[in-house]
Amino acid sequence: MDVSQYLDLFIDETREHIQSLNDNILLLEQEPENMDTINEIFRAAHSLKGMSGTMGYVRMQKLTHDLENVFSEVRSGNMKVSSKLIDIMFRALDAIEAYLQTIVDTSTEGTEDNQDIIDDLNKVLKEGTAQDKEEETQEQATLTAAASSGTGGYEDIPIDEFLRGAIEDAKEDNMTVFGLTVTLDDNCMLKGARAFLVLRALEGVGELMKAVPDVDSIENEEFENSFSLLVVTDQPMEAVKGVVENVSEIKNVRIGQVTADAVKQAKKEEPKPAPAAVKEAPQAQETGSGNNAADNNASAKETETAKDASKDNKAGHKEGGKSQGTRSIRVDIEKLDNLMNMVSELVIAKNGLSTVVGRLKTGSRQINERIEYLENITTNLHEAVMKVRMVPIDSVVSRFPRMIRDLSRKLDKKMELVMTGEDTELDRTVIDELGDPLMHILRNSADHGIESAQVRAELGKPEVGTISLNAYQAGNNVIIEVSDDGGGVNVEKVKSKALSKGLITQEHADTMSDDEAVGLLFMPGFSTADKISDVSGRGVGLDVVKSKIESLGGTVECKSALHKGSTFIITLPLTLAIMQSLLVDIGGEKYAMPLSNIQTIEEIPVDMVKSINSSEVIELRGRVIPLFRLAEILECEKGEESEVLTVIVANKGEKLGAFVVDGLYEQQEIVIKSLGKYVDAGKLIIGATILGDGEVSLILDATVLI
Amino acid sequence: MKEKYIIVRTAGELYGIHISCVENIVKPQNITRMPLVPDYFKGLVNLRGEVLAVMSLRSRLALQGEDDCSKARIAVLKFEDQSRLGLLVDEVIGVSEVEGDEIEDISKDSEFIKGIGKTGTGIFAVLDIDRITDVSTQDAVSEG
Repeated sequence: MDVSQYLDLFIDETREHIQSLNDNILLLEQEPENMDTINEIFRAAHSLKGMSGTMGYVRMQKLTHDLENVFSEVRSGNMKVSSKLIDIMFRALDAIEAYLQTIVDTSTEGTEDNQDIIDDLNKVLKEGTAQDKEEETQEQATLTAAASSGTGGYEDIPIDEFLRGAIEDAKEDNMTVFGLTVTLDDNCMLKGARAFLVLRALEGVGELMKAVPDVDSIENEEFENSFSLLVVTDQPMEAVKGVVENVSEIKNVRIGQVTADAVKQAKKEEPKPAPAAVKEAPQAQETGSGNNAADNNASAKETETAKDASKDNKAGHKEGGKSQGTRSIRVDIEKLDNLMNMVSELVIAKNGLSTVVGRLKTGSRQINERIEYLENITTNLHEAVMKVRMVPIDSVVSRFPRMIRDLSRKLDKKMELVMTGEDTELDRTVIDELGDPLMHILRNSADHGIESAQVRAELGKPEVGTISLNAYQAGNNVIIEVSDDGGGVNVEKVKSKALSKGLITQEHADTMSDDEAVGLLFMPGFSTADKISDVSGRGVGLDVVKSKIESLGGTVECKSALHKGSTFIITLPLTLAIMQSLLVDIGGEKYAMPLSNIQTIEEIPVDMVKSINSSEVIELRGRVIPLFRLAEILECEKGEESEVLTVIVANKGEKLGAFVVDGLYEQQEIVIKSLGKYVDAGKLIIGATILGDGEVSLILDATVLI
Repeated sequence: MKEKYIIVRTAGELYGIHISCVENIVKPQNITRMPLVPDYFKGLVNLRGEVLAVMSLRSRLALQGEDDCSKARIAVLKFEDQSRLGLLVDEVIGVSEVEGDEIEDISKDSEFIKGIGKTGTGIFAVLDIDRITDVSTQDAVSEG
């Protein structure tokens, strides 16, 4: 069967499972006894195994199978979690990730067997379980006993009061209740569909009373290879069995009559944990009754709940199912881009309409009201589409705890990563580009920031260094702060380094403020590390981070205090495609300026402009702000010099700049259009937009001048 | 094998643009001046909702005089990578079919001219669109 059409889905889901394993193994390292985590890990490993097997990636399947075996032992309590085990797990995980990468690149899994990891896994498995040999023998005994009395089939379906009542009712109506355990072929591709056919066939001859796992789970393929059902019918056993066997790709069907007496007997056994739940025995799978151990666990849980609330059958039912996350669907990003483009067109059309109406001398109040209404709708529509494109930064930062753990080992420093605000959302296009710069800053903090445990102890700091990543939304921006409690930036060292590299002059160095000196870190070709490690300092430095962030329309700053630590503050715009802007007149031309970084608009008399070092400044509320005459910078034709300057005060991070314009038009929502690849006016002009009257206007990011 | 060329006039001379490069011809309207770029970029226009950069052929070829606006047209060039560039000319004369071997190769003599072709009305210079649109060697204009 051709499975290539599932490849994208496989890649997506495998990524998710790998991430989930990464997260949970990290968690397991902290809390080795956490059963929820262990179950989650087992489930992810199990899914990985199944998926890679289905896709025909045998090497990947082999590795995940052995990984799953280890988790299985951990889950059943036969093995303890050790740091050695965690290390091997991570190695296996990296190998799986490598498989995935090969698959992404070439659609094949490559030829790497990773035999060493498999051997290590099996070794750990042997050692780990040998210690608990006695325990295991006991388990084995229970298991054998359980196997003889029925192995996780329909006999194990928990019967609550409600079901028992129903069974007795059926008997009175001369109906029979049959229990069925249906096992699908091992290589059945569409298990959910097959199972659905079985359910439908059964509905033709009788009524479904109970299913384990529940019907939703069955149809969603949330079972291993088999599922169990209770059916009430007036048909003989052979007829019921026949309709099920008519469905193709069924390996075998076990059927038996369920009576109220049998139920009573079963009820006595209930307090014991479901036998197969303790251990997923390979032989159980072969006998065709290998109910997924996870499901058995669930049914055991369900039994308890059902007893607690025996009257409320529904509650018991719910508990049995897996916890469901937010309902979501996968959408191709191209479709979203397309939708976004259409919304952009709509905004332009709306702007055009209001321009035309604005020109009408006899513009009636009614038309204006309708247009305002339209404006509301387009603004809301735009926001809604933007929200759809928003992705929590979690998808980028979730790999960092693992990275810091590995760095901690590699650098032989003790450190931990604390993250907050992972649910902060950013536009998808920004998220995709954010990973590398953030990783660089974190590596930088780990490598250059955090001191060795010894140094920290001497300084009276806690032995374990803390790196924190804090994300939050502020207005139209998202701020991401990465701070460490390490050594901070040694300003003198930075200055002398910059001097020796010829980046600044001695005079400049002497007059430089500490903040300015810290800013030198972002200059191209700067690296303060005394030795080049493979963690950071590979020639590319923070200047790359800076240009990347700036290409996303954001800014990056660094604050530092010697021996206390450093903080990198990244500010990013929420969205890139549409923004609120202020239309201004510069030398008779119309320019759009992003509203997000405009602080105030001031009227400044010409004689208030002072000159310092041959550059103009103004003093505003106690701050000295550099003044930029945009008309000159943009090579506009000279207009008349007026007595009072209209000045727009805008900020870049903490820095302010004052920009002289010749007049103000209105505030408008604009769609950012690319200038194409032929014209490049530098960073000052970030794009163009089409105004309501069809004219093209340039978008000016004056803050790059600061 | 016959090749088709769009024949245009700029600064009194005839030029031919191979028809495969030209997507459309539009009348120039409201060209927005673009600061901080080389002079031969005339500015930006709205081409059906997209922004199109427009280059003046006259300035690009370093010819004298002002662009003559009365009959001026923008030839919209479209390239393999889907990018577009407008080329502002004084007038579009029409389309000419020329046998491939009737184009005389003079590429060594001029930076932007590939050869000389003949039409019924006279001779025209075949523009080397690749070189004309290669602006990577443009004088870098630094910001600020």
